[in-house]
Amino acid sequence: MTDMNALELDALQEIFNVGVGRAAASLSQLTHEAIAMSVPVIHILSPERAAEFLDPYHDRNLTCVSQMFSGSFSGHALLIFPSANSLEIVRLMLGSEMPLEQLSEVEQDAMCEIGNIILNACFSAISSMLSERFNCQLPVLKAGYITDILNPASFDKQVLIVQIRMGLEKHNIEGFLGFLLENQSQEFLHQALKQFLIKAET
Amino acid sequence: MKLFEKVLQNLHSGVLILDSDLTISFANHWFEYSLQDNQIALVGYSFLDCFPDLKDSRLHTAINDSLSNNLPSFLSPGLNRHPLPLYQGDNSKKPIDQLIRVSPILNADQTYCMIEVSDVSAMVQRESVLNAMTKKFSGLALTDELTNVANRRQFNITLDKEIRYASRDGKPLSLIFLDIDLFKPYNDTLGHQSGDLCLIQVINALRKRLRRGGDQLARYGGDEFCIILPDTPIKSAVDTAESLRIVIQKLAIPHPANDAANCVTISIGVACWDRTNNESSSSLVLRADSALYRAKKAGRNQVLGHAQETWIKASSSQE
Repeated sequence: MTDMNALELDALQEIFNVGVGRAAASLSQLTHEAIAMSVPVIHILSPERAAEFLDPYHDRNLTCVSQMFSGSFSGHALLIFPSANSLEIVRLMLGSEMPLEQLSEVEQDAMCEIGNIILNACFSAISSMLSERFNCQLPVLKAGYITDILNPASFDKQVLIVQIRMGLEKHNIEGFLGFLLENQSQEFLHQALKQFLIKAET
Repeated sequence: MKLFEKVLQNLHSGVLILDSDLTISFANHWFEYSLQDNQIALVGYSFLDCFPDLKDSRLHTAINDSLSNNLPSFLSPGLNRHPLPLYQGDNSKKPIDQLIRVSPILNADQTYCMIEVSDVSAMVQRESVLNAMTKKFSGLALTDELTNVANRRQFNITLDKEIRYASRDGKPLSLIFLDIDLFKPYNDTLGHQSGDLCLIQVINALRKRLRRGGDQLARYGGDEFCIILPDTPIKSAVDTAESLRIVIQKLAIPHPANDAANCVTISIGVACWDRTNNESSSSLVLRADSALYRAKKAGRNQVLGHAQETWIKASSSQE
């Protein structure tokens, strides 16, 4: 994916923008709160750089909702928030005042659902704009350091990182989407983007 | 095939299968039994006809997402209060807390949607008990037993929070420190029980005077109290302090050891948070405390404020 040009990156950003826009609409409807998402910023990084980007000192607790997907592209899609941010998001959305420093069970499930809504919205944007179809697994919640979530040693492909900002009740909360694409999938994605741009031109 | 159907029928969680036009093609025993009106026929009917309230709901969207986009969804009990009209046991009015998974299933070129419902009522119940208890204990841990105002731990938490808000919103923040003049001699001459009563009277009078909701009164220790005044510049904080000083003097609680006034009086130090240096909470506390110390040195029963390296006295010392 290193050779993606500016136009292709813009197209990818546009696709994710549609995805997170839909996610914001669904989340607003679900929580009856105005939830906004800023235009996502795309980075394509090596696994080491991605881990460094997500947490420079590898010492922060992170919460991650992941969904496996297979089809024209296969891999893992991750939604990653620093754990402090995920606590803030869930509590604002549930309107709860748990004094605990950790996500409770109900809150973990809610976080899983929030991740599911955001990831699904991105999947459906990708599949409709690039005319591709996926099979997806249900979301799984994981907490830990970046090395537990994104093990740079076990993955040699580049990582697509999408930086998102979620605004709710005057709070601005930053999170990340990570797409770990397997084997030929990166090349397929690149091809699909080229096709998309050709279609867009005609 | 028959065996698998029996297995699904006997599950202790709900399974509902819809075909691509939302017709219910299977509902297991658990699901049918948990419906409030369990005489209702499901199989062969449209999901939306059986559950008209669910039109355009999150569950409806999730079903469509699975049938048209092949995407599975997860519905949590926290964000979805009782999405399906399912109830615990016979004729029970108690709704079941539900965790729902919606997944697409492809079979012989047909897409189906499987809705899997788990009863998580016990977990939700357990957590609400835990939540209530945690709130109660943290309330106890943060309240002063004698005077029922916030204790020092709560004060530290609140002050840090208010400094963050003041910094973010660009608003002034003032802090008052006060203590009762010659409180040790008061205790020594009248006894500790009278001392406790005196503290309670003073606190109640202060509380009554502080009418703004945001002002936060806390017991810092012994006979020392502090008040956090959000959105208040030094000038009006000193004025507030002066009015508090007068209120306490007017209580006229007899104080035999206070030669100057013959009644209980308070000394007050005030400091305003220093934005330009992004002052820490401990530095702000230190300045308010040293203003209080100076007010005492200067003869007690008076107010002294400190902001931007200058000492400020109450404008009109009317009694």
